[in-house]
Amino acid sequence: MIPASLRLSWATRSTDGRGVLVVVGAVGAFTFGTVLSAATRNDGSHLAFWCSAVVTACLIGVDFPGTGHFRWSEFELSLPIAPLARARAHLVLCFAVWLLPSLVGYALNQLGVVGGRLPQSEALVALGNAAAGVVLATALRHSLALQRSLGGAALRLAVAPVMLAAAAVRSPMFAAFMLVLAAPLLAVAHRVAARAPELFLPPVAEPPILGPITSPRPEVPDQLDTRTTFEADAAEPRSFGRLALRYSAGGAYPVLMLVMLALWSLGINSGWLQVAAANTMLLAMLVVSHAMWSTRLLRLSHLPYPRARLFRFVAWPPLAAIALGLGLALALPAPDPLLRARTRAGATFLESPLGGWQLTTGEPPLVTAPDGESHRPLARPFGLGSLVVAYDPYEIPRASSQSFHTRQVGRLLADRGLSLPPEQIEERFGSGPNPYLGLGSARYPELQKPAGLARGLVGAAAVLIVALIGLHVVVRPGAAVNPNRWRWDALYIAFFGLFMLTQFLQLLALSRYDGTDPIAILLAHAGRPLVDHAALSLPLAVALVALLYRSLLRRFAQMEPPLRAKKMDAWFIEI
Amino acid sequence: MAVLELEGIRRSYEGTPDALRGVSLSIEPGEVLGLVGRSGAGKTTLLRVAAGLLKPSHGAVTIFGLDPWQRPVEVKRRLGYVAESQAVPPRLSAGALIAMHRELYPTWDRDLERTLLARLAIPASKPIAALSKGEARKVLLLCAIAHRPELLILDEPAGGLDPVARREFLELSIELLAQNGSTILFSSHHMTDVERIAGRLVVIERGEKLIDSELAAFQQEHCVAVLPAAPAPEVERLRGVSGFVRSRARGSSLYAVFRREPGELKSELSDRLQLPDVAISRLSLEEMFVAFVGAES
Repeated sequence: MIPASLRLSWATRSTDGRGVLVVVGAVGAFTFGTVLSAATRNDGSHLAFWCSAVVTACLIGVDFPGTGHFRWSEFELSLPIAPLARARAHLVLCFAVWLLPSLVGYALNQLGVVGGRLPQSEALVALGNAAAGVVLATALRHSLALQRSLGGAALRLAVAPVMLAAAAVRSPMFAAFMLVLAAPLLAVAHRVAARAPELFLPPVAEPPILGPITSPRPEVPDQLDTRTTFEADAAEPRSFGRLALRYSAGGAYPVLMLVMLALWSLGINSGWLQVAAANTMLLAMLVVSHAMWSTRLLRLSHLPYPRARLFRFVAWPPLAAIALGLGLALALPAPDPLLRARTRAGATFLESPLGGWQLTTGEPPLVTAPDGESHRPLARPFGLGSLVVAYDPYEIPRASSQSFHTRQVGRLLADRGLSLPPEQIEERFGSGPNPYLGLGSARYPELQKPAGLARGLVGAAAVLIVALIGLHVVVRPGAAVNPNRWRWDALYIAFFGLFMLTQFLQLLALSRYDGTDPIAILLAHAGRPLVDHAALSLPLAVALVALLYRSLLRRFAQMEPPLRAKKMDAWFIEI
Repeated sequence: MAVLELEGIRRSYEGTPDALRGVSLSIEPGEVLGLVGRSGAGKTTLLRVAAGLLKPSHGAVTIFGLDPWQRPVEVKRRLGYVAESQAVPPRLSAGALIAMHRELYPTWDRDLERTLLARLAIPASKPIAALSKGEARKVLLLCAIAHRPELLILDEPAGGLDPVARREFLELSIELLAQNGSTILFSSHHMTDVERIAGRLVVIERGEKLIDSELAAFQQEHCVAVLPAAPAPEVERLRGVSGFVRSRARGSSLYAVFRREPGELKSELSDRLQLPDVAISRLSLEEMFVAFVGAES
């Protein structure tokens, strides 16, 4: 029988069935990751761990099972339940949702409980560490009492560096270290909560006075002020604008969203983030999250402020952040080596970037050198019964001869409009491929082929279009969406389903040791004609952007304030 | 031209039955209309539709002859609105909030603002969150009326205030806006407030308009017959009397509401129906409201 405190704790943190989704999603994703790992004979713990982390983070953010909803906290405290019992219940939930799957997954692989230790790819180790970083960050965030005693601001600032540092560390043991650190943190926090439950209530302290909003018009002395209207003031309601801007782009959450949007846009369009589909959908999710946050401004819609102007505070901050990222990406393109070394099934292959890959049905065509040596590129199936396979026509197996190397590289260079004398190609690859140096890296600056402005602009337009489509999920006629609760209708399910699909497909790609990403290959193929015909596709993209923006404006004009306003009380107080 | 015109308004929320079921209402300039109804009857929905905050599923809304969804800024500049639970940015000081409103309304009356600030004793430098509920509601009232709106919509404006503050709040609204001939539409659970202020009464029940009448006429036209102990057959006989509206048991007594002149009713009940113990009286609005929307015996 479930103790009342646990049942209550669960109830207060699973409003709208969110908690059920979290646990089912996290456990399901963990199972999926474990099965996938076993099937592909790849890293078990990190994959499963990452699945669990992604699902949980998507569903609830990093708050669960943190401080929860303040009103619920108050409600909980008003009930006759011992603080210690309540704290224990919270702790059990923490372990159930986050730590247990993580630790089990870790034990599976690191301790070799089932099937011994498996080889791990660097990408998975980094992801696993980052996921462990999320757990640690959650523990820090959850430790509200700890935050207050040690300085909450400093801890909050430490969360992002912890996650980034975790992703940068290549040792899988780092994840274990962070998990071990997170557990006592949570325990300490709960102990504090048990002894001083009032620390978990929202601060009642008086908020700081932001100072009077100055009127753009100086004060007129009484004896001269015979008019009763201030039309000049009304024409420029700057105070409202400042207030709206402060809400949509000034708090910790929106700033975090905007910084992530800028970084992701930069990463996607510069080529630093290789995984286009998953990261673009993540970017769309960030746009949606920000819009859910900023459409709270509709609670002030009883005021005579034009909707079109109000919409700027909803749409412009994320679009500006994206534009900043895209602009930086155009200025700072990532190096684009013409060949990369990949290790697969114990052998090393040289592969061209995804843009050079081809699609076919059946077997890929044989590549034959003039001396008769031939090689059939490996087919990468798309799965799910698809007959289409992707292959790299310039693939060079490790076992092939030097002359085959030279021929394949020569073909690739010729197709790219570049050239390198055969002896230099041989010199480059005579001692075998170096996985850390691609063809075209620093040793051969003349082979540095920049991505090109057309490609950058087409990529930027695509990202903007995805962001604007993402905004349509939130901006639509009817009541504004409660940011604490998704509205599970067809549009949300389709959007969320697509998001999850791209993430899982990405996991599928990561689970392959060669790192081949079929979706990225498809996207590269789909994008090639758009880049080749940029003179036509770019004006069309601009027109589409304008069309989507106009559509958003129309939809926003028909939006209503949220129905259950009291659930959205983080911004406003109700009098 | 009517200040506010609602025609066949229907409005439903996701997954719930209609909150409003074809309500029509027309308010002329200068009217003070009190909207009453039980909790969940649809008052707030109606007021939010009237303020252009909710879009009706069916029907048409015009305010000052304009569609509030087509020309929202024009409409809202001529409107004052105080919600039952008004969302206010907590970190703004009262003065900053007032300044923000001043910039939004072209007809803002600075003199009136100063007068109200002094009269209501609003601490302008304090953040909203630090004010008492009464003080904060006064700030909201100032923000809603200092631009001298042509239509003031108040949804439970005095909810949560003590009787003194409530009376002050409402009387101030009326006093200030009566000078301009403004129209007021307000909802309240306090029938004494409605009796004191409203000229016209609208009762809403389960999303439908039950009563729409001049308040004085409504009170004049209705009276109650109280039978100290009425067995069931008597109730059935009462139903057959002309002007019978509803009856309701209270203890062993029976209260029957009639739309009749009291003297005429008294003679009919005592002479024709042989009910000598019947007492006829006029009802307070609250009793009348309970008689109309309460459970019928």
